[in-house]
Amino acid sequence: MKQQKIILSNGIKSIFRVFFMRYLKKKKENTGENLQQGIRFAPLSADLQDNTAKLRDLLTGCSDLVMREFAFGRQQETRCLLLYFDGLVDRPEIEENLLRPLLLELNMLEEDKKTEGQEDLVKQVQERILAMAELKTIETLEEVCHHISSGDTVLLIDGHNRGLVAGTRFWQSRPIQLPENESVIQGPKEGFSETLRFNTALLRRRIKSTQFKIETMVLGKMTKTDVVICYIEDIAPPNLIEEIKRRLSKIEIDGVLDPGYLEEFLEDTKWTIFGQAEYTEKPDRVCGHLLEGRVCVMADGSPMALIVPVSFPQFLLAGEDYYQRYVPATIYRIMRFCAFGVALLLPSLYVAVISYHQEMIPIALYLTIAASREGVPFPAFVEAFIMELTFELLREAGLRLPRSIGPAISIVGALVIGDAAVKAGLVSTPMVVIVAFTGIASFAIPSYNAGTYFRIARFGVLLAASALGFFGIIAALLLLAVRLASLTSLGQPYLSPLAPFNRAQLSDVLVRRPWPMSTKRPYKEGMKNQTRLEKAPGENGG
Amino acid sequence: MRRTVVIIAAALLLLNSFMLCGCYNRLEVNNSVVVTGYGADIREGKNVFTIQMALPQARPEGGTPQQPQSLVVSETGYGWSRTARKLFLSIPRTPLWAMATVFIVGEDLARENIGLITDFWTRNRFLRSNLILLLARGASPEEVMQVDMPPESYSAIALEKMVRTQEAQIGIYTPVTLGDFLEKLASPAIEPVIPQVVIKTEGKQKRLKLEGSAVFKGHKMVGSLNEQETRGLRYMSPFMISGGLFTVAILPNGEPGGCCYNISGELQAELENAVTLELVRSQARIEPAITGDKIKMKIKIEAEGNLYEQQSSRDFASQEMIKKLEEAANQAIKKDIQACIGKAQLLNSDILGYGSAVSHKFPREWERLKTNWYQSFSRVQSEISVDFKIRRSYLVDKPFEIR
Repeated sequence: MKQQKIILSNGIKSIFRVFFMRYLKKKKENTGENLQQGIRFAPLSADLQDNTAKLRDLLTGCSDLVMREFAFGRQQETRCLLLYFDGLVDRPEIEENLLRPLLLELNMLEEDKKTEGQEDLVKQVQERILAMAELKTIETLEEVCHHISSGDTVLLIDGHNRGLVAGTRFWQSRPIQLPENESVIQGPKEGFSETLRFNTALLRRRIKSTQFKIETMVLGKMTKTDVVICYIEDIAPPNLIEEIKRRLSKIEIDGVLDPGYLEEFLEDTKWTIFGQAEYTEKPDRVCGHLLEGRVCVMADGSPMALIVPVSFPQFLLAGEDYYQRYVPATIYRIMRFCAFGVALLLPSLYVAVISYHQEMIPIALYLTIAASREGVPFPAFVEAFIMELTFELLREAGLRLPRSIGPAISIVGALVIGDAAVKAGLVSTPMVVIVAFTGIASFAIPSYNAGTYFRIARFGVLLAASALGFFGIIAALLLLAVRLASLTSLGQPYLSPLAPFNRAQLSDVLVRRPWPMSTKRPYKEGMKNQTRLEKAPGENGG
Repeated sequence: MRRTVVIIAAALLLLNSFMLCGCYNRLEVNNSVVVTGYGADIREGKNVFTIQMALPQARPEGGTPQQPQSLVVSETGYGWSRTARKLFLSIPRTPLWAMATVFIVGEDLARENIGLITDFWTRNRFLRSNLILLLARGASPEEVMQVDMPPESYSAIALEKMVRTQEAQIGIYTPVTLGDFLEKLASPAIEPVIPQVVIKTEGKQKRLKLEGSAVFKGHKMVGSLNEQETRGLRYMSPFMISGGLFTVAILPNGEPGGCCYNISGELQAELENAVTLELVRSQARIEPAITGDKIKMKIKIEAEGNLYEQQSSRDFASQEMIKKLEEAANQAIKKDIQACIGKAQLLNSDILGYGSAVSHKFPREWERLKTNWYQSFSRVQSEISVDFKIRRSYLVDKPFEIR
């Protein structure tokens, strides 16, 4: 390899050198990696010296690594190595339950050794000395590395080609807080935090059933992120779970920092603006979805839970709907459907009407609009585009602003855009009203992500409307409908239950069905247990 | 890579075509002006086309908006559309034709030949068939539209609202839309009428008023109905009508009477004898009967109403008095209808729809009759029976008494 490189560097084809260099470099890197991989997957040797050397080699540069060597036995004859990453472990626990027993209770061990003869020291330590709940043996260096980087503590004993892992994970984590982006009036207020185990615990606390499964996968070559797939057996269709597992297991990515990484791997269709999963950071919402046969995917390190499969109408249903009485819930739900229509169409309708179909609006309204547009230099659709973009810009800027600058941007937004622009005659007042109304309506869509999709779609409709009026709007809506109808989310049609039409399920989309009448879960192919309410209560309750 | 480039290029082309092909007949608000009403007349053998436009007024900063202004512009020429287009010579903006609510027909045009404009009405796509038709009596459409009608800013809109609200409030004229008018014009069995608008001058103040209806026969306007006759015509409408007040006279002895009408069809009676009734609903049924050469129309009116006002302190609440009131109402309605029939036969114009009644009931005879319908029409006899029922008397059942 080295020779080849030299030949080439001295060589004739200097033009291609760059490419070849890249090729060679890649090659070399690969071999280096393979070499390291080789060490990595090597079994632990019985010689502690050897193990220590290899580990030092693997873990060079990891300044947070703690390698504590000590010895026990009457003559300090048994050397040991304790390994952990500082900051990930519960140090008092290590001291109390690992080191202390090893250093102090050796006499007992020695006594036993005398009476019972040569028994496996590792097994004895595991079974009798260490007062740890989580304890298991490992056999490769790879496992050592994996466990210590997860926050466990590894104990290697000289003369044994096995190590012991103690579960000592402990780190500072954000406590359970109100979910910032999903506030509710009624209903549970807990939100997920960044530690996966706490999150699954929040779920388990709500579904106290052994049918509630939490399957773990490790994804990300570097990050080794724990990813869990949560579902309720019997309710979630088995083929759906199989498919999710299959798609997840095919991912070979270096890191997974959020379930958002996984969404695009789980999607059926990538080339679309419409996402095919839903996110929430509220455990009660996750449980609601699980009970309807959906599957939740969470990744360690993120408070977001990904729900699949989704259908489009689901984006408009708020979790709170199910906690409120059905009457207000239904009314607000219908209002949300209207808000969706407004968010998607209002600017387009306005532009289409005032630049193509003036006769569609009452004369008095037209005169008011005309009066306020007098002197505005831009055509209506340019005005609409500018204002819509401004709104998006304000939203985007407001999202990432440091909190202390927040008020400044809102003042600039409100004063400059809302007031000064109108006073200067750059935009007309009705346009500001339209944009504001559309903006508010778009945030009435409970799912933030879905709101984004339709805000993007809005621009397409606006373009069509400004070119072709109502005809354009209808054309754009048709395209949208065709696209939405062609999408699937893990095999489930995106528009279900609207298309394919399912009357039974529709009764929980357009209205919120009263709970005593919700005897069945929304059906999915392969769902075993569809009964939600065993028996509708009799009249005695009334 | 190649594929991506192709896709992007195709998308850009598609997007481009969107911008190029589109925007057909896009009209910016700033380049348009609202038309509130049209007028059409003929003067010295030429078409006169008038429009009233609403001028948008920029709202002053923080202040109350200025009084909106209207602008009436006329143009003379040959051909309605071309005359209308000639307006562009003096107006910098595109008029939004379809926003208009009223079409005012000049009396000269109506008397000369309404057929001159019917093609324009039916063919032109800017004219809505729900335009309210009015006839300018004694003044040109232009003069009518120039009259200010506060509180409305634009007289055309004022006229449209007037025609619509008066029907429910006083119940004399039936709003006639362009569609209705053309339908009747096209039918040999019925003739159209349209409400007339006149200019009333009081000192310096001019106001528009609805007064009478213009009666058409064939191509021409042949005369007018007064208020009473128009009211009578409304009672004979094949549709259910509702709304309106009418006055009956009850003599002190309780007998209906004293119902004499002056020349303009107003009731003449002692004030104490006048009782105002409200028409809640009324439905007419016209049944023709042909015996030999004679055609007889049986007109049955079923109506309901309320006691709305009286000026004496007589008690009408008793069953007996209610009966008398109903009888008086029957007579009043009958008189209105008779007046209308009389006028229609005098003008020899079948505004009553007798022809269509005959054609529905006796289609075979109608085939024979329709060629010379107007010879028969003036001799058609009418038998009117009215059944008016009083239902309520609003807040009082005993009249107010001054002691």
